[in-house]
Amino acid sequence: MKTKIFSLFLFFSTVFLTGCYDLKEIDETAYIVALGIDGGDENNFSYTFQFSSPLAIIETPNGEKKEGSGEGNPSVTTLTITAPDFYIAKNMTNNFLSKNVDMSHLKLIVFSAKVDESVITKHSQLLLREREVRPHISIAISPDSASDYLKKVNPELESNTSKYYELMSLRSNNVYAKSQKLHDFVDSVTIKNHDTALPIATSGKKLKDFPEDSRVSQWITPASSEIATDHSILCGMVVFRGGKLTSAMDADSSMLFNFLSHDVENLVVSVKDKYNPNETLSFRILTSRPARFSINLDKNQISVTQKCEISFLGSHLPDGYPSKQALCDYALNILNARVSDFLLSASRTQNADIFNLRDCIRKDFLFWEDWNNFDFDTFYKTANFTVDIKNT
Amino acid sequence: MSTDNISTSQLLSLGVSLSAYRIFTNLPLSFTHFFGTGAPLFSVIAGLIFFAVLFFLTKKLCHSNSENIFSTAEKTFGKFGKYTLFILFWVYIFLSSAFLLSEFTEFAKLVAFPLSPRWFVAIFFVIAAALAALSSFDALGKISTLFVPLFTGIIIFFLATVLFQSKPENLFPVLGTAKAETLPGIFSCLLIFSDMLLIFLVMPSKNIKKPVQKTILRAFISGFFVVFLLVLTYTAKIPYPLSKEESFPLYLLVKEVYYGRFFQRIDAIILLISALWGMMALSLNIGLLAGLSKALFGIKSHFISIFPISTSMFFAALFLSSSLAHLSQFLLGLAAAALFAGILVLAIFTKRRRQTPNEN
Repeated sequence: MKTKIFSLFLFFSTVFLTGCYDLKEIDETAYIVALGIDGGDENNFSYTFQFSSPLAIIETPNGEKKEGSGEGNPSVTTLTITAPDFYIAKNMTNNFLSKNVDMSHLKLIVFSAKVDESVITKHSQLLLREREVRPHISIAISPDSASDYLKKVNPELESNTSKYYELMSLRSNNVYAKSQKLHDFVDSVTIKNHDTALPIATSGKKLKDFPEDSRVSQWITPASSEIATDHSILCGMVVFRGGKLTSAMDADSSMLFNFLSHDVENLVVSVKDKYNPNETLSFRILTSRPARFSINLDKNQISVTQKCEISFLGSHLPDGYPSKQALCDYALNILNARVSDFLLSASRTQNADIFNLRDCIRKDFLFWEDWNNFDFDTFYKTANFTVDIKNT
Repeated sequence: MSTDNISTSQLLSLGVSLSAYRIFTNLPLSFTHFFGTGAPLFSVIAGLIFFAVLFFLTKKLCHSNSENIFSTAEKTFGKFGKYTLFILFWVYIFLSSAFLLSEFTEFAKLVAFPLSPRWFVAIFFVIAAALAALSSFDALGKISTLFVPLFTGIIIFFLATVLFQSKPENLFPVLGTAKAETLPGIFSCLLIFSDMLLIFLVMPSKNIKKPVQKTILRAFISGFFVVFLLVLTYTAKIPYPLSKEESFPLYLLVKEVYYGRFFQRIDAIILLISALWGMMALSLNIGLLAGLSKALFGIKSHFISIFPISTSMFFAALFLSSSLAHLSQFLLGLAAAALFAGILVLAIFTKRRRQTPNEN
């Protein structure tokens, strides 16, 4: 009898309850794949929603692709709404969209650097708390307009823009930009005094406008490079300090950041030939783990050790070098000097603890209050860096 | 419902279920609230305190010639002792069930049913638990033996994955915000394990083939390990003080599980696990309450006692919704402390009979 009652209950549950609350039909849903937030008039913000157009991704029987409303990008539809609040803007999308707006496929959030930093923090926290939004989505800063960045996204060799965002920002193949996940960013900005960095989202032609960080004479940077497109790119990074945007770092510094943090495993660096400065020598560097930072509070010293595998990318040994080992040592010395220069610039000039070294000294304290009262800023600004990059 | 035929493995599974199911609730956050980054260390201390007390209680109350805990209370303190313990258990189980139902409803809403009304989600738990409570403890034990090891394994796997992706620096300073004023907070953290006291109602008083004490302690250690892993992973993943602002730590952590583009959003599994685990725990509680009500009020039919209990539990859970979460936690804490004190007094004053060679 009990089994019969239970079976009947299960049967009626499955039949009658499937259409109750929280019903979601896939063809009645509009999926946001990217979101741009710009400043607007007075207290308003300009929200750019980029929706996936699945039908536009599918080719027609003639082999031609259907056109979407994105600028040259048929796989998305982009629309901008100015509103005082994110939720008002999201609700307003339904003024002309028949489908329910869903953020479960959101892959990228771009903020304009022109909006107040508190807006970036507030929106990031708010979006992370949204049930539909995944914590692993990417976040970036556009030096001018977030909307422009999204409209100019035109995935090369990729028909699905959503996948393009995911591959671009989360795969470790973009050596010149730092990748940042939403949950890591929110964790950092919500905690008082924590510094963090975000990738810069801009168009290819604006690459030259970046501030150039200090240089080591024999080091060759990508600063003079130019991408012959005005499509959107991710390159360089901006630093958030104490919840405020403080400075920008160029593509070269971002590469060094990725090298030390092991966000990129495989990179190629070029240096000038010691005996023939007009020649460049290129080396492949492979890392297997993040650099090890050890801090000596008494000696006011921060030691950085990174193990890597370095190999010369040339068919023959250049003149003047007794062996390949000597050539690699020469490159490592220049890399050492450039990394020292980068760390000193971050510490002295920008005072940005982008590697979260503050956390490395936590284990030296027993109580939260003692650690919280430690004057890390003064220590970091005056600390000496010892860099040791080893060829394994 | 008789517990006399319950096997050692069933008792072990039920024990693990009772000591670990509160990982789905907000209770593990109490370690973070009191001790900040010191939460994992103090969870170990809380576990050791509870283990020591459980060891004492089981040594005194669980042995091969032990009787039902109420018979022991009657022998030690007379009818007054028996009925006091009845009432303490009844009040505790009722409040614990209402709290459980309220938290699991909130959890299910958060994970999968944001638009559904609370009553709609809660009613599923109550109906399923009430129907399951009609069956015997033996059936519940069998279901626990089947699901608890599987679910525990999945949760450990998820937590270990997130732990490997987290920052160990977040675990320091190791003593966190502990101060002389916050140390008594460890007793309120013990609430996370308090349902383990129900094991004294579940354990068999006859047909004991293996030492019950060992089984209960083993169950507690397994359940404690899951709770500790959750607290450790949460502290390592969500930096303090952000961690004390959040709610439902298990859900937050499972959302972080990411094995790459093709294997993500596996937090959907947690809905199934939490729903089944919640229903199992709730049906056990309803079954125990029905049994106690039968004895207290002289109700003869198990079915008749289950219906009003389930209904009142349903309304209590709706009343003790998120807006009254602190009140419900406070009341539950009071009831747990009273029950705990009651069992402790019983264990202290009870005299263990010398085991004769014919027994066991």
